[in-house]
Order: sequence, then C-alpha cells, then structure tokens
Amino acid sequence: MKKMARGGVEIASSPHIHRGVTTAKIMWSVTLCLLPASAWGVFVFGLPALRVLLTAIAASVLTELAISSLLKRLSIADGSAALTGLLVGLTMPPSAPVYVPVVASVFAVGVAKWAFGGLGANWVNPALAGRLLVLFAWPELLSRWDTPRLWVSGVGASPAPLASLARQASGGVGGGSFTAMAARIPPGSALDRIVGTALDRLLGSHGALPEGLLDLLVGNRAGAIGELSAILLLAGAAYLFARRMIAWEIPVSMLGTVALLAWIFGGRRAGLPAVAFQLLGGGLMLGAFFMATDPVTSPLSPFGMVIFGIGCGALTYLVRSLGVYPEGVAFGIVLMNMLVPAINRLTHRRGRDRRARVREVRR
Amino acid sequence: VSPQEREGEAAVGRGIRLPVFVLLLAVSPALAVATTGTKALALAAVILPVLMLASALQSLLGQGVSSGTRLVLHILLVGILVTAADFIFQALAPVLRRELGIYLQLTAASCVLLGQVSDPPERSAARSLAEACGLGLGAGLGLTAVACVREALGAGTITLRLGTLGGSLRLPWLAEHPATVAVQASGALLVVGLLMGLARWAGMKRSTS
Repeated sequence: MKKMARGGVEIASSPHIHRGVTTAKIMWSVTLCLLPASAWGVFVFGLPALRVLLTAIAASVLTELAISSLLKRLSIADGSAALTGLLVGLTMPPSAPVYVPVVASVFAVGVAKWAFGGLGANWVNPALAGRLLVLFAWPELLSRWDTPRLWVSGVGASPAPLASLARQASGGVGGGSFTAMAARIPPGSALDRIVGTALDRLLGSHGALPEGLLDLLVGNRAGAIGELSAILLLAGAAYLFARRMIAWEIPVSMLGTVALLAWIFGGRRAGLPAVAFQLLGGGLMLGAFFMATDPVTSPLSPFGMVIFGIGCGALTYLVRSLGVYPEGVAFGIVLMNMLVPAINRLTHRRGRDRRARVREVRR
Repeated sequence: VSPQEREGEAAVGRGIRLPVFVLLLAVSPALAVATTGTKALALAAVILPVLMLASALQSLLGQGVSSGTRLVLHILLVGILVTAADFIFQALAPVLRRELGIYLQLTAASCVLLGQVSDPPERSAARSLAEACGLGLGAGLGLTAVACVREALGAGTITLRLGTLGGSLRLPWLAEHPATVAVQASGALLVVGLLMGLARWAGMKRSTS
C-alpha cells in the first residue's frame, strides 16, 4: 500500500476497514481447500498428475522469488504464487509434457501478474492467463481429455472433447442425450451402476438417475487434474463460504446462467441431464468457485458480482456450444475479468448514495 | 531529451494524440504477416524507401499547399510508391510477393500513418527526409525484431534472407516444440506489448535512477 503523510495525517486509498483477514491467510486457505480435489486428481491419474502439479507450483514460486527479489519486494510468504502454480497445474491434463506447466506458470506469474505491477494489480486471473497461453501455444496437448486409470469399464473409453458432446446436448441435433454422453464420458463405471440402481430402488417410482451422474459427482471421469470431483471442489468451496473468504454471488450467478442456458437450449429430450452434464462436466466447478472469485479480478459490489457471474456463465456456455476449443470456462472468466473496471464504474455505489442523499435533502 | 526533440514531440502531440499507439496501429497490418525475419525485412524494404521518397517528393511538390491538400498529396504519393514497390516485387521476388499477399499493399496504410507522425508541415526538406529515414529504419528494425522473436518461439527457426544474402538458423529445442500462438496475430500483439512494456520500464528505471 502506498501511503503519504500529509501534515501528520496518513492518506491511503481504500479499503480502510480491516477485517483482520490478511491476504496470506486467504491465499493459504484457498490452497488448503483445493488440496482434496488435487489429491483426488493425483489418486485418479497417478504420478504424472503429481509431476504436473509440482512442476507448476515450483515454476510459479521460483518465478515469484526471482522477480520479487529483483524488485526488492519479497512476497513469497503471501502464498499467492503457490496458489497460482497450483491452479495452473489443476487446469492441465496429467499427460502434459513438463514444459507446458512451466511455461504456463512463468507466464502467469511473470507476465499476467508482475508485468502489471504484482499482486493486486493484475487485470486477469494469472493462472487462467497462463493456461490460455499454453492452450493457444500447444492446442493439441491441452485439448486432450485424459481418462482416469481407475474404475473405468472398457466401454468406449476414448477421450472425447466436450465440444462435440455439448453440441449434441445443446442443439439436440445429434440426438445425443445425457445417457449417450455418459456412456462415453465417463464410461459409466461399475460403482456408478451399482450405487445408481440402489438409489433408483430407494427412489422407487420417482424416476431413475441418469447413468453416469454419480461418476460425474465423485469425479470418476476424464478431464484435467483438478476439475474431476465436483463433491470435493464443493466441499472446499463450502469452507471458504463459511469463512466468508469468497463471495457467493459470483459462483451462484455463473452456475445458474450455465444451468439456465443448458436447460433452455438443451432440447426437449436432453432436459435436466444436459444441465447436470454442463454443470459437473469440464472445469466449471473449479472455475466458478476458485478462479472467478479471485478478489483482484472480480467486481467490488454484490450487484456487479452478479453481472460478472452472468457474463462468465453465458460466455462459458457460448464457447462450449459454438467455440473451436473444447472448454469455455477459462475464456468466459478471462473475458469478464477484462470488463471488471467497466462493471465497477457501472455499479459504483457512491452515485446511488449521493442521489439518495439528494432526495433526503429535498424532502 | 534535447529541446529540439521535445519540440518535435510537441508538434506531433498537437496533431495526433498518443503517438505510440498511432505507431502501433501503423505497423499492425505489417505485424499480421511478419512471421519470419525474411518477410519483416521485405516489408521494411518497402516502408523505408517509400517513406523517404514520399517525404522528398512532398517537399518538392508541396510548397505552399494548404494542410488539407497536403494530406491528400501525401496519400496519393504513398499509394503510387507502394504500387510501384508491389510491381518491383512481382518482377524480382514473385514467391515472396505471393507470401506477403495483400499485406504488401497494406503497407501503404502504415506509411500514410507513419508519414503523418514524421511530417509536421513546418519542417525543412532535409529535416523531414532525415525524420522519414529514422522512422523507416525504426519501424523496419522493430518489425524485424518482433518477427524474429515470433519466428523463434512459433517455428523454432530464425530466417533472415534478402536475395542471396543471409541465412536461417534452427533452434534446437524450440523447433520440435513450437508454440504456435507466437506466429498468430494474437502472438504479434503479445510480443509487441511485452517489448513496449520492457522499453517503457527501462525508460522509467533510467529516469528515476
């Protein structure tokens, strides 16, 4: 924080009220909350996943160390570099060659964060910027959906990009229902079948669970390291909500928008399974709870956050259903990151307050 | 910064705001196609003589012409010169001409914008010729530097060839793992932005120390 002493009065820019929660505390808490999902990714994919995660974190921390010591603003303890590295690693497929996470992390910390002035001054989420750079640089390595090595029954286990599946679901043109998608991604494991039938019996006549839903929830599916398990990601997010470290407005409006669009454009037959697939598939959970909520690159006011979340969701759905790349979450969030200053200006509190005060005075 | 230079900047600033962005705008069509050092050199070989000749002809023909007409004259001159350059390329280097495509003719737009920056009306003929030369060299060097960085990252090679001169260099690791983003248009803007930031940062450091 830059502070100027003028006649003994300390002048600093907002925020002025301190809640006793430091940046470092938030960063380490978020990192901690991501650990279950990360551990699950390593468990499902094995050592390659661990290698990708560790390389990403190491590259990120080393870059931070190098730049911050060069600028004599040592900042490694605030944990932001480790978190950025972890997030970069979580968005990678475990089969990514070692240089991919390294380049992504170095770009995230060196260019997206420090070139714009360091933590608090970055205008897009650093981890997503790094992820998008390597996606553009080596598209064939990053659009891959690696299949889990556990519990996969052999039916059509070939990795399929989300794009074609989402298009099938959204237009209903290909006639693909969620069951058909679930048969391919994830392949519908034995566990899913057993628990699914048990639950169906429990539900009785209230209808059957779509096949593959449980696999999606638990995270027995193809995808990047950190995006697999919706339940573990939600558990981490729940802790952050409870500690009021992330705002609920952004993930709720983002997920709600994707769900609404998937429901509207899902076609008559796809219906709710398509919604579930859009919400639980791909990187939406990871992005909505752990990336879109980054306080630096999201709006200040609750109303602004809702606008931001809706934009993220709509762009995500748009890229998923019409785009060239298989996943749209990173694009949606980064594009909305760029609009944050405009959203802040639109939803600025002071204007409304002043108008209210003027009205009071007139009365 | 010498007083003359400051005066020159002020003159530019009166006509067009933010000359850096104008310059960026001016070279961006060229950047779109400058994916190898050779192509950038070819574009530089068009821009530099066109700027200098246009400046010289402008000084010859433009005496006592009103400022609005000056601009029309300048655009006409640049258009004629770039068309001539296009014909020369078609005759001497048809392959390179085909690779550059429409962008060779589009350098006319770059030259018009660059000429506007370099050519305030009150300058003497020699001064504006020197200015055009400097600007052409600067734009050419900048283009070539950006193109070389992009080619190195995006294809793993650096080729600088004009006629029979020069050669190409294959970079050991990058050639096997090229980052295709660098040779796309977005990569050009990325590289330019980083180079501009670096230059500005260096300038800031020098002025503070």
